[in-house]
Amino acid sequence: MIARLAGAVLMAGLATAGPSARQATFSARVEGVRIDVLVTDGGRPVPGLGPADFEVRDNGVLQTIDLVSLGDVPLGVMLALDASRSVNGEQLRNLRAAGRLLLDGLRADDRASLLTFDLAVALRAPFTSAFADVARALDETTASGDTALVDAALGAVLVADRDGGRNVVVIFSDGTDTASFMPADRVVQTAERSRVLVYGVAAPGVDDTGFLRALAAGTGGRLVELERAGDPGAAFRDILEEVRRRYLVTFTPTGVARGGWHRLDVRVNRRGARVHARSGYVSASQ
Amino acid sequence: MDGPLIGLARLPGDELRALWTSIQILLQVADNPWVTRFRVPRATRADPRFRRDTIIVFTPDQQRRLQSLVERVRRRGIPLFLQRAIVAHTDVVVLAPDVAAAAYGTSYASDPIRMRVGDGQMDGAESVSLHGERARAVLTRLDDGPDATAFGRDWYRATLAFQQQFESFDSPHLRAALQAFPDDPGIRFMSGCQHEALAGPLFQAFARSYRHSGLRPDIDSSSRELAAAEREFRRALAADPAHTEARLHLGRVLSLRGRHQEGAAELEAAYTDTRDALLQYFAALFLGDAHEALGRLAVARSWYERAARATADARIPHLALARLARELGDDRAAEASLERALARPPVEGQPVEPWWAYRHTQARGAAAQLDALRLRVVQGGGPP
Repeated sequence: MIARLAGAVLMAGLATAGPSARQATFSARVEGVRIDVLVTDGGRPVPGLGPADFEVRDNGVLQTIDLVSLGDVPLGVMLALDASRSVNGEQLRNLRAAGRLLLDGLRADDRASLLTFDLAVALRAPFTSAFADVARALDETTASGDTALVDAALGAVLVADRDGGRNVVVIFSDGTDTASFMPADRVVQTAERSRVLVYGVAAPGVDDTGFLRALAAGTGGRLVELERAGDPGAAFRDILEEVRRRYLVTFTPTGVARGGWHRLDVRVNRRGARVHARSGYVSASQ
Repeated sequence: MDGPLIGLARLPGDELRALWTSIQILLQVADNPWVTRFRVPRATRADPRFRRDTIIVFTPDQQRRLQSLVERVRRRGIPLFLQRAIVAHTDVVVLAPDVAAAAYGTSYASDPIRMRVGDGQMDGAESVSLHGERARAVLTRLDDGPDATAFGRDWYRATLAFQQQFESFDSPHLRAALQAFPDDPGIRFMSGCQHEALAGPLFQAFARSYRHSGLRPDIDSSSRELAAAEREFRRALAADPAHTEARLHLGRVLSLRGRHQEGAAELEAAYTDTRDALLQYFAALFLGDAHEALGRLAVARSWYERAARATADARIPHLALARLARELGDDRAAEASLERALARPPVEGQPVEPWWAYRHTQARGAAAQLDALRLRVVQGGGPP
C-alpha cells in the first residue's frame, strides 16, 4: 500500500495538481501513501470534494493531505472471470459480452488484463493497451470444472499489484469457492496490504458472498450483487464509471512510527456521506 | 471376466431369475431362520405397489435344509458361488453404471438416492444401485467365517475406493463397511477421507444450497466433518501406525482445525516416512501452509519450494511462493513464481496440478483392487 511516488501514475496524478507539486515531489522522492476513496451519498458518488473536505488519520494521528485528485489517472482494469462449469452456456456468452462492454468503456491510455479461473487460475492476457488482444482472449474462454475463487483472487491481486499503477480488479463469480488451496483470510489480508482496488460481482442466487465482500471491502472497493440473471454487463459499466469518480488522496505520514500495519481512518465533512477506502496499509520499516 | 461368469451372463432370463430368487431366499433365512414364506416379486418394473407377487411356502423339511445351508455358509465362509455373485453385482455397478441405476426402477420418496454434485451444485440424482445393495446384503448377512472376512474386507476396500475415485460418497455403504470391519485401517482411512472431503467447500456449498429443500444430503457441518475425519484417521493409525497416507491426511485435517503445530508434526512424519512422490508433494505443500499459519515464513517458503520441485505440474506452491515472496519484499522471486502459477492450464489428457485431484487421490488404487478381487474369484480363492 505504501507507494513510492514516482512513475507514470504520479505524473498523471500531479498533472492535475500543477507543476509546483510535481517538482517538490520528484526532488524529494518522498514516500507517500495513496488512498483510493469512494464517497457516496444515497448510493451515488459525491463529486466536487477538495482536500479540505477530507480527514485522514494514520494510526489515529491526523495527517496533512497532499493531494486530492478526481480519478482521471489512467486505469489498469483486470477482469477476473469465473469460467467454471456452472457458468457454461448462456451465462458464459453474457459474460463475454459484458467483458467486451467494459473494454469498450476504457480510454486509450488505460490498460486491461484478463484472468480466468475454474480449477486452474490462468492469466489469459497481461496488462496491455491493445484491448483487441484482451477481447480475443475473452472470446476464447471456455467453462469447465470447479471454482477456485480464492486462489484466483490471490493471483489477480498479485498481478495487479506488480507495477504500483492505479489498478482495479473486477472479479466475477457465479458461486462460492469449491476448489481453492489458499485460505480465504490470508488472501483478504494480501489484498488489504496491496495497492489494488477490488470490485466483486456476484451472480444472482449466490448464497455465500462473504469472501468477495470481505475482499472488496478490504481494498476500499465493494461487492455488486446482480439482481437479474445473465446481465453482468451493466454492473461492469457502472463499476468503471464509479472508479473514475473516486478520489485519490495522498499524504506523507507524519507523527507515526514506520513499519508494520497502519490503520487508516478516512472521513469527509459531508453529513450522511459514506466513505469506501482501504482500512490500512503496510509501512516499510526504512 | 471369467468363464463361469460369462456362462452366468448367458443364462436365459427365467433361470437367472431362479438363481436370484434362491439367493434372496438364503438371505431371508439368514435374517430369520424360522421364516416359512417367501415373496417373489413379479418380473416387472411397474409400480411395485400394484404388482402381484408369487408366494413360496416352505415345508418344515425345506426350512430345516435351508437353515442348515445357512449355518454351513457361516461356518465355512462365503462360498465361491456367492463370491462370484458379489463380484458380478459389483461389476454391473462398475462397468455399467447406467444399467445399475436403472435396475432399481421406481423409487419411493423415502428411498435413498445418490446425488451427483458438480461445482457445488446438484447435477442430478439417481436411485442407489440395487446391484450394490444386493452384493452388500450377501456379505452383511452371511459373513462370519475367517476366509469370508478377508474377502469381505477386500471387497469393501475396493468398492469404497471405486466410489471415492469419482467422489461418490455412499454413506450407507461406508457404515456397513465400518460395522463389519470396525478395526480395519484401510476402511477407517477411507472413512476419514470421506469426512475430510465432505468438510470441504465443494460439498459444504452443495449442502447449503439444499438446506431449505426436502432433500437431506448426508453431510454435516464442516467442523463436525473435520472432527469425524480426525477420529477416523487416528483409528486407522492406531490399527496400523505405518499407514503414511492416513498420517498425511491427519496432519492436514489438524491444520484445517487450526492446530497447525500438531498438524505440522504429523505432516513431517509423513513426509519422512514415505517414498511416494505424490504423498511427499502433498506433505510439503501442507507443511508450507501450516508453517505459514504459524508465522514461520522462511520455513514455509522452503516447504513450498520442495513441493514446487516435486513435480513439473505444480502450480499451487508457486502461487503460495509468489505471495510469500511479495510479503518478504522479493519482487523478482514473486514474478518468477507468478509466471508458473498462472500459466495456461494443461489441455485435457496432460498431467495436472496434483492438488486438483487431492479429494480422490486416496482411491488411485481402485482399479487394481477390483482386479485383484476378480482374480481371486476366478482362481477360486474361497470355500467351494
